[in-house]
Amino acid sequence: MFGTVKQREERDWDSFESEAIPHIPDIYRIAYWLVRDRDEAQDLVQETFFQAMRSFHRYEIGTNCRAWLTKIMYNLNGKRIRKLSRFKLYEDVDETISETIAFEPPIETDIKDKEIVLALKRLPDSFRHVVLLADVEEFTYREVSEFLGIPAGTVMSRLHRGRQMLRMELTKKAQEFGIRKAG
Amino acid sequence: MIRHLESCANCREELAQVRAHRQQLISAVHNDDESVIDPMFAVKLKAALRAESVQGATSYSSFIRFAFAGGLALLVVGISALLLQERAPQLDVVVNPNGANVANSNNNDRSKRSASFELVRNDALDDHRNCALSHRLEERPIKLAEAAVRYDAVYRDLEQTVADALKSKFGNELTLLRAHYCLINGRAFAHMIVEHDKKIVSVLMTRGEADGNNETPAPTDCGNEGPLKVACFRAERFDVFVISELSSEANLSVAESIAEPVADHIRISGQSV
Repeated sequence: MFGTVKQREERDWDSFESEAIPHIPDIYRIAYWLVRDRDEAQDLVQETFFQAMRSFHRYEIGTNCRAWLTKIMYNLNGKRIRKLSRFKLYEDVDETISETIAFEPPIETDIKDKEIVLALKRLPDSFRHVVLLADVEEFTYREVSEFLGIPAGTVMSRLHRGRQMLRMELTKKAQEFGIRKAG
Repeated sequence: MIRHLESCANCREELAQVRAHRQQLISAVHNDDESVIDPMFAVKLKAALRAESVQGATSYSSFIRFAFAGGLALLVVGISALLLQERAPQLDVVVNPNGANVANSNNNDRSKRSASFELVRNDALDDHRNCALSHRLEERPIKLAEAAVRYDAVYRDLEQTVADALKSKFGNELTLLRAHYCLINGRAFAHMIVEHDKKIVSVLMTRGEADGNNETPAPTDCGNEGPLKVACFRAERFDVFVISELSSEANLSVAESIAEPVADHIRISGQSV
């Protein structure tokens, strides 16, 4: 009635293989942007998928597996950081930035991918994570809120400011290259 | 909000800019080399997870036997005896701890294909469909020359070897369209795409299990999948597939034309161990 043990094992692996394994490249990309180091990203991805396999019975087949894996990864990374850090992590002072960013220039289409990536890397962590998860990885505000452990309203405000800061960076870069005349 | 957008040109323009910006950002991040996964890492991770899945299930089975033993002694003894009989053969399953593609079949006879070889064959078919035919890979492929530097010198000039072998047998009937190193389902393939008789032919090479056998068995027909014909052979430590919608004979003929040159190429590159 329940199948042999071997059959159940094969089904479990088959389910995990079809649901979770295809997301390895995506999870790696998110991990890389989280830890900013390829070796660390690989360690984190490995740890994430092993944890996911152990917890796979808690995952509901057919739901958003990528979000489930991302949440596991953020939890693991959070534990790692808490373990390593002896000091209290203060909330990023960038929260107090900047009602002064008033001008929002359009992004120049001549800006190359490399410049966009560099500009994203230059964003403060708290803004970069939100922009990456919401705009690049296209998670919902609610999912981003769960990953980062912050209210959905904070996600929205950081996303708005992050986008503004990105635009400012890219406009500066465009001016350097003479794509756009300085105002 | 929708009503407002219908009447406010400024807001529509702002929204369009945000969307365009977002698309640029997505494209830039996805194309950034640093955030693209190392294909070999992905392959090894998948194999390690598979190995853990087998070993973990064995431990789980033992736990279940112990858990039932406390309450239903006689019944548990009977169930345990049955479970042990079923499990014992599984303990001899060989899983490659090094993370290479798992293959535990008798490599001298591809007609007795193992479940592991079927997985490799299915990945090759997926690669043909999603890379050669529809360009729908999630990860951007890299050049074979780059793969040769990053992973294994065997990939250097591999496409030239294949192109020369095909030209030698078929003349100008076959044209090498492109070649690259791509990742599908966590498995990496050196992928050469050829055109013959207006049909796309994939030559796909991936690492297999070392079996100490340095001979190259003759290519065999490895079955059909819908309109797709699959021929395959083992060359040193690599499994090679030729996949196309040509007739079975023509598809096999392509495989036969490249088998020895590819095996020689691998041996010369020094990666035959």
